[in-house]
Amino acid sequence: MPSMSTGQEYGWIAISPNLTPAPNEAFAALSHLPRASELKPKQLDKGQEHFEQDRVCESLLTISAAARLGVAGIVDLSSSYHSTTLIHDHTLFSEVQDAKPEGGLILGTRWGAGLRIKVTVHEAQIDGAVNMAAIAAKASLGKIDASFEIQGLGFCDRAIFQHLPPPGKFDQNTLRLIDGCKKKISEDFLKTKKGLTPLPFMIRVVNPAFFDHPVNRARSFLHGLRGIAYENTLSVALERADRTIDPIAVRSTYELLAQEAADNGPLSKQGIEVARRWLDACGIPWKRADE
Amino acid sequence: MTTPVRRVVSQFVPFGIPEEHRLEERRNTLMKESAPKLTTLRVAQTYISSKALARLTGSVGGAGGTVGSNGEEFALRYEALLESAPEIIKYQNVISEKVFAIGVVLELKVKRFSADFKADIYSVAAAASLSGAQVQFERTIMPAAIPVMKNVPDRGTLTSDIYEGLLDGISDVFSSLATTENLEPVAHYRPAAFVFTREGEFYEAVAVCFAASQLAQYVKLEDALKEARARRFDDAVVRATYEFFWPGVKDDEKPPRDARNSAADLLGWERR
Repeated sequence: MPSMSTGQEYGWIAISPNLTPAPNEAFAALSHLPRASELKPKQLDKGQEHFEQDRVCESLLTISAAARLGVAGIVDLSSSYHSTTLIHDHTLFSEVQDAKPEGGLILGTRWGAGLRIKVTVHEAQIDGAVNMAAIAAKASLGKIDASFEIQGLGFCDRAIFQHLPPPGKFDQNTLRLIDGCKKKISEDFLKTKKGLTPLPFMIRVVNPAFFDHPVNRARSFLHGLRGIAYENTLSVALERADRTIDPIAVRSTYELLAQEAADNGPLSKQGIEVARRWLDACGIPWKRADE
Repeated sequence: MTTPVRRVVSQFVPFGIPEEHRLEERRNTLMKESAPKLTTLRVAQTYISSKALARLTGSVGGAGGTVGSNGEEFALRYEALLESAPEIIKYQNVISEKVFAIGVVLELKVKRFSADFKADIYSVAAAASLSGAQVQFERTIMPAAIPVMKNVPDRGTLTSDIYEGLLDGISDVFSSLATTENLEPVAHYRPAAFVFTREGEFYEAVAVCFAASQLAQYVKLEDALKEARARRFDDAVVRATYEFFWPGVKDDEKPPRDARNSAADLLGWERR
């Protein structure tokens, strides 16, 4: 039996395993971020075995965070603050971590194969326990709209077709079929480890604020805006950020508005003015550095 | 080994597939192409909201999904595919994936006249039979040579009979796909996501900050929305931010102190 992670493990999060074409092979989902070409999966240590762990990992994400990680699909963000994606990964994997983050973000990578099940609840608050059974029960009662996706990570076999849920709705019956599919895959692939290709399906990020709710994460952009308005370099702004601030969002703000060179390089005068105008437009007071 | 690959050419209004790709498909129908190895299983039933549909169809110059007196339009898509690793294609604001695949795709475009049913394929099929919705469908089987579903049209108006036929047919397709050797994968395009940009994230964040500042100054939501429009902030984000701090928000009431203080915390302002 695989062990089950309890809730979201610190800093580990599901990501789309799609990579940009060789030779760079960075995460395609993160291509909008600063230093995108450096945002690569960490490679397993030399001699490290594949598929060392048998675990179920779950990630609960807002649609906004899921979109940032390439696991949301076609969603309209502004109307989806009350939409949530539950990602249930039933996999064999090996993980690697070290203290040197790739692109300033990725501390660790899980390479694995198995089954990823994503359930998205649209425009509804999920009260109480958040798991697939609870969502299926509520959907069966017509209380919520839910989409689902089953993705085989790193294996492929036509025989699976006979176990797949048909079109319909995500409810307890669909969940039963998904459980049957999981059992079949577990017996045919995960137990034997035959025909499995490890894919980078989870990353551990430097700061969990990276996948915070968009309202909370807005603080990180505000921290960047204020830093520019106060004429602080990016290095200073990052030094002054506490653990609830996402450094990626701060860096994005600097690069978007004012950063001309290195992290401790000068800011553009135009960028400083633009940042101040944004703060004015938001109704957020600021003071000039010399006042 | 080079495998002949058939390409799917759909007459259905596509969900954000750039027209250039469709033209390319038509030009290259007879082209032989090396089919990559099928490495991924994907089964998905996804809901595409009216707003998302508008962005998708807008991206190809078509009419967008709308919500109005003529009903709400949205889309549902079911896919059960074994496919190759995707080739990622960015076109305007849509990321599409090109894969080589075998399997089934069912797309529904729904015009909903009643809010009494849920946005899933089962429910819209039931609603269609009760005149609660108009549903157009298209189904695609890859490869097309699989000799099943001859009694169900490729596309048309969904009725309860056709829905039943589709379910039976798809079950037959699954059996056939599971047991037939040497199936030729087909090039298949699908919209996968909207392009996520730094600019988009930034504009969303400043709209949140604007809303938090309004809320922290006890501004009613209806007044904050007016101001947001004047300052060109996304009013959907402003509303969502008010709802975040004030569940059950009332548009025409002043925010309560707890909500005000939570918004002030976000901005680093003093509590009152």
